[in-house]
Amino acid sequence: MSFKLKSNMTFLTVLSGVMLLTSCGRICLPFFSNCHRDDAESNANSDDALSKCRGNPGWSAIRRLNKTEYNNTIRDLLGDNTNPADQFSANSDGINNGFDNNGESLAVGPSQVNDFFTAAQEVSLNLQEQFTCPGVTSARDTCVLKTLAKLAMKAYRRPIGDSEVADLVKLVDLALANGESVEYGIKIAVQRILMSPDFLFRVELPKDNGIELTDFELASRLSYFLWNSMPDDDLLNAAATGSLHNPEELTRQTLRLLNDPKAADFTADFAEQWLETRRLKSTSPDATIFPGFTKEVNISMQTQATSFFDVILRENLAIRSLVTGTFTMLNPVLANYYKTTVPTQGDSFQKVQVSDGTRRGVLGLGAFHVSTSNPDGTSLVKRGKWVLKNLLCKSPPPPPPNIPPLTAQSHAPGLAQRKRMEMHRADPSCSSCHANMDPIGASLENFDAVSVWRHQDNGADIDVSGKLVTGEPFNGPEELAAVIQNRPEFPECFAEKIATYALGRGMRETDKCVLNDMVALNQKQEGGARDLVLRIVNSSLFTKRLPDREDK
Amino acid sequence: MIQFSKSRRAFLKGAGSCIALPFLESIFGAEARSVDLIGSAPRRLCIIYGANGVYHPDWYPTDGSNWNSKILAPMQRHSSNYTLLKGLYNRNADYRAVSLRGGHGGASGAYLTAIRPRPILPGVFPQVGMSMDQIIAAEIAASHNATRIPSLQLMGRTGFDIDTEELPPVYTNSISWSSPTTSLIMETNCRKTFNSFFAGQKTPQQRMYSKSVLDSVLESGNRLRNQVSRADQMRLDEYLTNIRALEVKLDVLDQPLYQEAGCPLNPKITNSSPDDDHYQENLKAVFELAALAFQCDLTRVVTIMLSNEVSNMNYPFLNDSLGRPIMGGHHSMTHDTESADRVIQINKWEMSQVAKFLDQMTSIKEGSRTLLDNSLVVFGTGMRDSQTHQYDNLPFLLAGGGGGRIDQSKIARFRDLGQEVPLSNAWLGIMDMMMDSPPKTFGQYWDPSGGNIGRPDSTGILTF
Repeated sequence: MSFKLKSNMTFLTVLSGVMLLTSCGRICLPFFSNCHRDDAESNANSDDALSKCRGNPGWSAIRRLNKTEYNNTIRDLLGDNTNPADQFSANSDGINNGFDNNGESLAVGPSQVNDFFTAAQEVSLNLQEQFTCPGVTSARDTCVLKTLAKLAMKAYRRPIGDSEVADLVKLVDLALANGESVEYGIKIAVQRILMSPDFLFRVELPKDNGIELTDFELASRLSYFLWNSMPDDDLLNAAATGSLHNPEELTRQTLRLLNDPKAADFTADFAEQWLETRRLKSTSPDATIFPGFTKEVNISMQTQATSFFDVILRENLAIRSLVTGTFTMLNPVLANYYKTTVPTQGDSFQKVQVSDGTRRGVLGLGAFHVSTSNPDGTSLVKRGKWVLKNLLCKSPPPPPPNIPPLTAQSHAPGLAQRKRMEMHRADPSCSSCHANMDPIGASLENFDAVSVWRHQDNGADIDVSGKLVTGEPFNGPEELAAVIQNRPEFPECFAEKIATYALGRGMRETDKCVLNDMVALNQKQEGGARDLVLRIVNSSLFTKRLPDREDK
Repeated sequence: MIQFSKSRRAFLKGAGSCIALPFLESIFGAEARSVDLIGSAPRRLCIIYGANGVYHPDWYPTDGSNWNSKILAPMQRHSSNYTLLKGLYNRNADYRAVSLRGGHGGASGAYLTAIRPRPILPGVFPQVGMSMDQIIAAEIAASHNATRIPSLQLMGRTGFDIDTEELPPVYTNSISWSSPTTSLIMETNCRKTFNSFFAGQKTPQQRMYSKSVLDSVLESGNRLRNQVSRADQMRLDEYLTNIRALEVKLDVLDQPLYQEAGCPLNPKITNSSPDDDHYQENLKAVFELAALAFQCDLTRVVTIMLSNEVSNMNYPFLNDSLGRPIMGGHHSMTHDTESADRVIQINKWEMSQVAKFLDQMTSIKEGSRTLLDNSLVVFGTGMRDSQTHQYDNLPFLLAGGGGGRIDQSKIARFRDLGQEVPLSNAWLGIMDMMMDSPPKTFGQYWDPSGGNIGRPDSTGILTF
């Protein structure tokens, strides 16, 4: 109950003083006013934080495979590398909570169903030899039965019943009755498998007794989290022997999956959505202003961002190294572009130590600087918002209505953007929120819109000093990184993003409570990023599920 | 509704468009005089949605007699084909009273639905309401002369620009909702859409297999449906409903094309791709697809988004008044008054594309009338002004004759309706013109004070 009491207290505190009421009647909370449990320390001895937080594991909506998962699953199920989902309509995977694997927004409208059917037909026609039964003429031949049963079992990611095989055999019979071969019949049956909701959705059924996922459901959660794909034989076998709920086995499997090359899909997919660098794929800075920003640089920046996260996770580095690590990932293209003196060998990305601090961590990533800039210049607001939203999970509210715009006067030459934003902030209806965002953005102004280091903006010297609304001062990106690293919200936010991705749903207050406990324990035991993933996988959030949605 | 029979259409096509009424009368008898030929043709609806509002000070003419709107200048040649409304307000797009990030998600999410989109929470599905275009499409689909495609949704480009967070991109990427929880994908790949127009199942045997596969899926899907939780049933129902729709489509796709109606024997569209480097070509192809779908009577309801509602694309092919290419991102520029000139150029270009679409619709003859005479075309945006996020005085342009429902030559070219007329009133008016059994109310007004949930949003039917 202490959580509840504490949150009430915080709310009252907020009401009494910190909360700012803007002139337009809009409420703008300073971003560090969320409720925190006061007993996190005492709970930090146990990983089973669930009961202490008085929550439940929550409910996740049934999840349809998204495009990445569909491509990978077709690859792993049928050895088909054609990536059929690349032909699906753009926007067919909705985005919620910043990720495209959120159950609530993975709709199955007419367009998606059409795309799935077209893909099923095309994939079935390219079926590899191992899924055929040459010379066989009966649908009840052992080869046919075994082939179909094995395919269906893997496709549905669980044991299957006789009636499910019978449904498939019926289609082979139908083909034979129409003068087609057994091979053709199997193709029709494969279409049927690929259109089955058991294949297209990750089904988690309500349990008669309790909320524990079955081992097979857990296997799918794990493989779709860390591989964006179906479980392999090893994982399915572990589920079949009933050992997956054993923490040792679950940990062993998690590490095995993370060490597999297939985990690169997860680290890239997660990082490019968390860090919003996916946007670079359709970003085009004004080439007349920034001729040096080539396609090659753009692509290299995207890889730098995702491989940076990949290394931190796979090498189990401290979470703080995401912002203050003394290394970055570089290839010769970027080393040259950033004008670093670091020698690079070959064409691939390498982990390199950077001494001057400006290119360290996510705040030094070119992909961050470019994706938060306008095509013709930087934006303090966007960069500030990016840091608050993605590193501290404190997304600022939208601007109030009738915002006084940046006036012509504020665009006068010789005025740096920082100065212009200060004029903007003079308006009380804007200052409460912009005081959160702008100083952060201003401290990064040495990086221009294409991440080239500069000393002047619009003819004026750049001033990178500032402070958070909570008072911590900083001067430039290196000090900003140190300030962020010390905010308790930073590792908690990272945990929230990982868990959102892993569970395919947004985090409730009780979930955040559980996660914060895990973060505290992880820090106390000097655990790294991978250790945190292991804690999340072993937690009730990941291994249990409420039978139905809680009433809203 | 009096149906426009194929034989009559065939006759009209054969006879050409210069046919005189007395002759018609002699063929069809006295009845022909009372049957309005335009009124009996299939009526089509196309709604074109522009992203990020318009630069509104230059949208409305300051002087009705001189028609001096900068943005509407490219529409000059169609001035007798459209009317401009002022005063429509989409109050369901407006979240400010409840301190939520309504912004752009509200603008497009509430646009054709007149319901406030549901903000995202864990365990809560995106939800708004069935959009008015889908209400019309559903009536046509259920009628005895359903079209091959129930409705068509198109968008000019693929790029994803800004995550609208509380009202997630599902609300900014589409304006058409076939159910309160199913947003329809606005297709950006024109070649794919074009191919789907004419792709039937190759042989009757293949169609039989396809139907057997889908029947079998439905059977097991219904079994699974009974095992999952109530909340998950909603998603499975959505899936099974659309599997059934696909089955119906397999049959319809094999019906012969409506070539008597003037459908070209070798239809073509502009080659394009949906990335930003080919935006002009792709948007051209989008409009060609819409015209072709109408011309061949493949569908009668089309919605088009020029881009997603928070589009931040550049327009390097356009120049500002100083001759510089327009970079800076559409959305970003709308928030900067210094960029007004550039935003005006973008809006003006958008209207030139709409004007070209109307050219195309005028060039397609249907009997003695044009496709435009038989259609209603709306151009609108979900915000009046994207700089300060205003939802009143929405830009709303209505073109075409609606199959005789509107005589554009007789109505005012500019109508000021006064203050804050619900946008849903206009949609009711359009449904009234498009449907046999139009609804009497539309949308749901979500009162910011908390009460009155469930009250219809509309306050009356707007007559045109």
